[in-house]
Amino acid sequence: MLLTFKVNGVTRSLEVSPAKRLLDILREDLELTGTKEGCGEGECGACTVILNGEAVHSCLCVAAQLEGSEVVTIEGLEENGELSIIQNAFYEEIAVQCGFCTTGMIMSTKALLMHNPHPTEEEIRIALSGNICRCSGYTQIIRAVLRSAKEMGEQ
Amino acid sequence: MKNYRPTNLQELQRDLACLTEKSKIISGGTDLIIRLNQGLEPDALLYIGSVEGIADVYETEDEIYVGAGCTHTALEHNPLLQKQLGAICDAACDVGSPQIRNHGTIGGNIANASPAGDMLPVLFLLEPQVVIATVDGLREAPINEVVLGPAKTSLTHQEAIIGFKFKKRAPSVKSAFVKLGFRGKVTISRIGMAVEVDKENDVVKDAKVIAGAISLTPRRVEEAEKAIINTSLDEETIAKAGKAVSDLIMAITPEKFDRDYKVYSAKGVVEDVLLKLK
Repeated sequence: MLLTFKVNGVTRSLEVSPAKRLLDILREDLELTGTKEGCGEGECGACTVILNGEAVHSCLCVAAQLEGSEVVTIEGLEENGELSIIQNAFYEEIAVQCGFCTTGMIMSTKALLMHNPHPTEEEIRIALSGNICRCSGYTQIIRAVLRSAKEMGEQ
Repeated sequence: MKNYRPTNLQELQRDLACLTEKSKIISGGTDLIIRLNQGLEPDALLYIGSVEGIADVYETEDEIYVGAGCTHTALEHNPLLQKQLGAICDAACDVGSPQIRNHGTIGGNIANASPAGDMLPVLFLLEPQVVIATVDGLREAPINEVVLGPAKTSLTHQEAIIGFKFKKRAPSVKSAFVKLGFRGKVTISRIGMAVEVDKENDVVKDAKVIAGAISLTPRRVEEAEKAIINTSLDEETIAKAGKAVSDLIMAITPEKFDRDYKVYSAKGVVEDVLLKLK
């Protein structure tokens, strides 16, 4: 099928199988390898992207569902070549250890703050409940989200 | 692989006519795509999410209509459902993870008919008519005639669920759902309790109790209903209702499906759901 959709604000048209996963379209066809594959079955959240304004698993979306949609990946967050506030907060709070879960964590954070700019810690925990981290212990991640919300509020 | 993306009912009917037994209808895809990735190769995918009105929720004089394409996130936050059919919102807010809730739909949850599907006991409680698109037009069927068993429905390969029609409730009627999993979030139901009560001056006049994930399809627990009718959901009543559910699990749940754990924990789940309705 011919798929036309927007990725990080740019319209893309490509010939793909209707069953090809968004994750594979991003990584293989569009060479956007910031989105990671963890479990491949919607448990770990490493592949999280924003689809039409909501956080979703890119491993659980296929081309057949994507015509006319808008996707934002981790590559879409930078602002004029600089890290975005959320990315910088994860860096400053040392909320990154091996880094594999980080892009998914950041995309879930982005989706949360788009809908709820001043989340409570409990709301952050719920928003990130679908993102699993094996190394950090989550404390620094929560701190990074709180810091992101604060800095975005100050902007 | 063929690809169909109907944008209205007429196109849906036309495309349904092209499907074979090897075709798949996809909505959120949060279950189907795992199977595709494991090697399932349908001859066609029909994406139902672009059909006009597929995610609508609205009320008529005596009914509430919920489109099959409503995501769990949309259900959770819908004010009309919160007011009239609270058990739907309770179940929707705890399905999977935020990412699953943002993409998985109520129609997909029912068509997939997982015995652990959280919407199943809720819909068996609230008894909607399922609106089904067929090649010849629309038909309606009660939920218990659509879901027959694990991954088994009465839908043919040329039929798609497009919505659910619920009878409107009187203001005295309240419903709730509580599930028990092995952890707090992102967990699969071991028990799902869906309860609806009609109360007058704090006394339960009518009740319906459905238990999910204890057998192949949701089960009505009449003994628990008897225990709570004509009470004000006091501690003793709640314990009696809990015991009724425990006894049913002991009688019908196979031992290997965590029977003993469920027998014990059911009492707490029943307490949680009844306290929401007190």
